[in-house]
Amino acid sequence: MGLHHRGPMTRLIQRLDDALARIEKCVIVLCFALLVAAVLFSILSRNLFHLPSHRIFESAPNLVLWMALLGASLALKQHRHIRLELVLRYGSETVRKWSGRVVNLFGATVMAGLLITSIAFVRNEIAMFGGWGWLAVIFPIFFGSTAFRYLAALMISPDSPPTSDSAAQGESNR
Amino acid sequence: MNLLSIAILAILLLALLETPVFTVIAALSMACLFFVDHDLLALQMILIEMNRLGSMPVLVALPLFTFVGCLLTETRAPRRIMDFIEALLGWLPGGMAMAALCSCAFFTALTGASGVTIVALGSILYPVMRSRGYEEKFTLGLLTTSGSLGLLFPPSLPVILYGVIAQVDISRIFKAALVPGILLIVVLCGYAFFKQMGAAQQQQSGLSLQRVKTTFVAGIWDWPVIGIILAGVYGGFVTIAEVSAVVLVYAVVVECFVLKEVSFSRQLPSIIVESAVLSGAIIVILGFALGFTGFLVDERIPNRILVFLTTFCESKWMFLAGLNLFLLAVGCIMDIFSAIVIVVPIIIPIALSYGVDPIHLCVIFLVNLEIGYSTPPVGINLFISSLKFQKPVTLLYRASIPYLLLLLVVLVVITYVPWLSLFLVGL
Repeated sequence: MGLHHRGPMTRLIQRLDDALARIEKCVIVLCFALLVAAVLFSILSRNLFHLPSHRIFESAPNLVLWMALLGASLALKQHRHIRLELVLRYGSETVRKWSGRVVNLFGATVMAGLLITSIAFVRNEIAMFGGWGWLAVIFPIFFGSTAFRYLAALMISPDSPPTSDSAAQGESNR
Repeated sequence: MNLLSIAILAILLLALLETPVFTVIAALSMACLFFVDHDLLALQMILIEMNRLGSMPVLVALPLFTFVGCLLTETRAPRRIMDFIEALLGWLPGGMAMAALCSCAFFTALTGASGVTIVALGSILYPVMRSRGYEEKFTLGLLTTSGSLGLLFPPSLPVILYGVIAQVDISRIFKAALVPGILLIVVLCGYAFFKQMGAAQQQQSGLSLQRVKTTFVAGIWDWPVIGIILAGVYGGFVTIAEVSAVVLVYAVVVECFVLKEVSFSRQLPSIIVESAVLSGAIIVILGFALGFTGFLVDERIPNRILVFLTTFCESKWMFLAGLNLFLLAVGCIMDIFSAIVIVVPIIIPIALSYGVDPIHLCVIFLVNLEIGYSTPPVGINLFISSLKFQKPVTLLYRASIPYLLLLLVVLVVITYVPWLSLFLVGL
């Protein structure tokens, strides 16, 4: 169904989702560039200049965490998460539609629960580690965006069944 | 039945409705942590464990190698490498099949996801093999099973993930997996050779040294990628994360500025995003699984399973047989990455108590999952091939059986001859 055939609320959600995806993509590219620079600087400083570079190398996994969680949020938008594709392929279209609704509702509930938990977690991290604690802010961002995306999927295309072949879907999304 | 059991059953039911695995594990963790103490504060444990990902340097290799795989997929590098292997082996009976097996293994080692291999290389290899006179059933079976070959070779992402989870040196795993990985390919190549030896309809020409030279020179910029990975992983002078960064820089410089097959400004950002999506889907499962398996260990679940198992069998060899059956079933129904993060922490303490070497266990684990991918009735490769080649899945069941039988024989050898996996590690 084309976007112009949908109501204003649906269109707004779709636009928010797309805007969120654009921001996520920009941050991913930035994190990736920083990650490569950090690892290369670590190799060069250790081997060429014989300078200690543990701090830089140890901070690299934090960039991976940011990149991975933003990538995972995007994967949800693109229906590319790993699933157990065992039963639904044999189900009727109606079963697939209803299971899609149930799954989206369930996913939104789980992620919303973790969003609330993660806000308290970030507060604790900031209280304990000061500025470095802000690195944990990626958790509420991730849980918030995934909860939103599950809800958006429920509202924009409540009838859309979950993908049946993630690998083939992945290929088509390129 | 208590509330926790009901919650777990409901979540497992939702998993069957194709809820993303990361959400399933998150929900399981929440249910287990909450219902044990009835305290919402306990849910913080999930975040604490996820935050631990930020202190695992080896994790850096995952997105970087994923990026290299995505980048090379966008280029003609797989085609160039396949052309060279075909020039080397294509003149032999079953030579094109051997070239296909080796190309798939190489590609799977780079991408880590077998489905992608079938989708990407299947479209090239299927018409070529059919035009060379290979039977449809033979071709389909070969492409379906070879879609997961190569998971034992560097820079395979499942091996890296296994090393992260099991806290085992990744270079040692790669060394141990080298001979079993080669053995799997050699056995399938041997089958292709003997099966096609009498097939007169194949269009075979003799070995052309000129063509070997031409295809080698055509891929001259690609070989250092393999060289850096092999030297880095097996040489042991740099960490796996550092190897991944060096390979990445080389691949970007060559593909964007030397061969100019990828545009630095237009294509590279989308390849970065693609690799973040692929690795993110794996790492987020790992993050949630850390919390969940932490709960399983706290509740002494592996110990309970061990006590249960030892009442049935005390022999290490019987245990290994049962483990193989269990892992084949796991490989059939679960994605390799989910299987590693969920199953490995449970089976490691059990296997160790039976005296199984942790490195040998890793090789057994990965070979089982590699085979499970193509095992009827629900191995994921069968369905991906069915979709890709537009053939009934029952045809793919029949087509895969000869290959699966051979792979199972190799699995038995790998399981019961630990020396095969361990002799290189000891050198």
